Amino acid sequence: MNKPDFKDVEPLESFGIEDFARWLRTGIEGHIFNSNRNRLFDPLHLFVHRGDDLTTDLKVIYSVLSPDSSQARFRQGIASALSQLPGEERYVLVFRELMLLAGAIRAQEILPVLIVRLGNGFFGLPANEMTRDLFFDALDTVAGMAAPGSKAMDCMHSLIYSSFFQLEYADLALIALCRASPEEFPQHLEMLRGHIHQLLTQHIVETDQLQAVAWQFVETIPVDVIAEHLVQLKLSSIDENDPSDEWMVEALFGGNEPPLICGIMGEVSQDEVLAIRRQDRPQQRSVPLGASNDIRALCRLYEKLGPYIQQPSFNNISLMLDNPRRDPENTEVLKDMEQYGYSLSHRGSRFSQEATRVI
Amino acid sequence: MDDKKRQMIELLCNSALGCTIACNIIDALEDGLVELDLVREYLQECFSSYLGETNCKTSASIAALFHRVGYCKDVDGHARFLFRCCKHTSMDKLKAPFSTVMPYRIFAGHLVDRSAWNKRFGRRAPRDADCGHPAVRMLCAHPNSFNGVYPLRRAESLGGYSQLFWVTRSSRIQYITKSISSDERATRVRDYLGLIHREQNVPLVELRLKASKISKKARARPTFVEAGDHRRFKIRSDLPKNIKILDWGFTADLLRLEQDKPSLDGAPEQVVEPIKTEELGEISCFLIGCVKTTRGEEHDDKFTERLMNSRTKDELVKKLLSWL
Repeated sequence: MNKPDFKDVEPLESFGIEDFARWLRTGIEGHIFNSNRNRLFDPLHLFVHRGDDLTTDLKVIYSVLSPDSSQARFRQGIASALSQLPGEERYVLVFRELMLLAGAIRAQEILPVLIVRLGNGFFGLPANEMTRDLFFDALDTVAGMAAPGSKAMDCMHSLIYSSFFQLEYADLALIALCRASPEEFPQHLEMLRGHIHQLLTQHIVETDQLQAVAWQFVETIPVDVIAEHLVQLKLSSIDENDPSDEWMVEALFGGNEPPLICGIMGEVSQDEVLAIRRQDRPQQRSVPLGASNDIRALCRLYEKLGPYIQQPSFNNISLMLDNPRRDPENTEVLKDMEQYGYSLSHRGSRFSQEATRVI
Repeated sequence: MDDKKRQMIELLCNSALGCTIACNIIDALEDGLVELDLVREYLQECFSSYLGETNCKTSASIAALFHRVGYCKDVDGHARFLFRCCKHTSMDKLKAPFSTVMPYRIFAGHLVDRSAWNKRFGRRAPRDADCGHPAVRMLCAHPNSFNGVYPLRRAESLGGYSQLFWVTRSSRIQYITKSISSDERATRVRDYLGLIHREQNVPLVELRLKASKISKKARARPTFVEAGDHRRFKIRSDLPKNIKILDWGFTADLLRLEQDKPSLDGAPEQVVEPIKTEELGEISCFLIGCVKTTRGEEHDDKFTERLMNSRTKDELVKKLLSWL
């Protein structure tokens, strides 16, 4: 598609925030409500209604504007237009177009506005096909903007607690939260645990279908962060009906194409530890699982990982465990492990291959 | 006034893209694909529009203006220049399916019925996704989990935004991708169809339409009007066997251009007026894969040079002015 020159967008360079808000709103309303589109988005009318959709065309215009000044006012203009739209059903589609544009150019300026305008559904309108679609588009837009330090996390929380939130949005919300705050992924899983449990128990999705989510998870969170915090997952081995995060372990390490591989680091019969790495990046160093003071949680994690351990050990880097809570000579640890049915293969070995299997 | 006309045409012919547009106008007329009256009317409309545009001073904006004029509607909502190729054809005798190719984002965001998607995948379709999106990458790696028949959203239309959509014969896409690895498939299809604006990381979806679905729609070989300011459109086919085919145009294969092949002819192509999704009902969709490269502007001059075929810029200007 033919892109405007900088000279073509010069008239917009002097636009203030409210000018952009008016220009966008007038153009989008004209696009939605009027059949004659010939002069919409004047003076850039020659460059709209040519691409795949309005978002594509406006994004191209935005890309030509001066990056630091005009682009910022353009983004703020979207937020301003969103905040001023009347709370009527007629404006749902205008809201949607503005929001999609904001998503396409990552205009984080709209996030505080979304939180205010979301309430319990847009403008307090009842749930129907159009408002539900708008809700999903909002979720998708916010998910696309999620990044560390952004306000996307607050906005995503508002969306998750909205009455419009549905079970099938859970994976998208989870990945968005993980992008905003990777280290807190166990907390994000906890927040959405009920939704995902229902998805699985009602057979709306099967565990293997969630492998795509696991891949997204691994794309989003560095392996060392996953390794560090994996032990915080809720892995219940007692009550199957109790919502847990076991599906995530299965999706990460099981199935046909698991995104992660789990193996034993170190010499057999020496100091051994479970470590993980990405399946699609064999050249990358594997990362040992993080320590925990909660020995029960650690045992449960090792138990769940047992079936997925690769043989032989995939990395010959020997690592010493330095957490005294996991020292097998620590009687408290030994007691805990015995209670959970583990045995140590020999003195000096922390968690040998045998020790990780359910006995 | 004549000075203004010359100014407009010279501004158009001042860039590779503008020369491409000019060549296509001239070739369409010389090959008998459009009437002289249409060319005159179109150029006159471009000129009227140009006079009313105080900001039309760049090569990009004049090319956009020529594009806009082709698509502009009268007060009664009729786009009078579209589908005016002399060689209309009826599809009644044809039974083979036709395909249109679009980015996944447009398919998921505007066309597919979301509840049907939910049923199929157990979750919502990621809308604004490119190939960097792991969910889409997973789909591309296992296209069979995606491919199938989808019900479409209500109150949308195929080609509605741009007032038309482009089709090729589905068999041509199958043929060209037959011996290509799944990784390279989308890139090859992009090149074959001349879709220079489909850049790296864009996942492409093929929508396959039964001939009966478009048999009652206006449909034509594309000309400079429908192509507008597309940078790789050529009205004239290169191969003798294709030149004989009057009711289909042929895309400029971007790979063949890069390889300096004597013929650039790619897939047969036509344009079809928009179809409401209610009329289409369900549609077969195939995830082709992710485009791996971006085709930049590096071959613009080479492409235009081919179309100019040793004509000079002055000759193009003179010819267009003679019809204005």
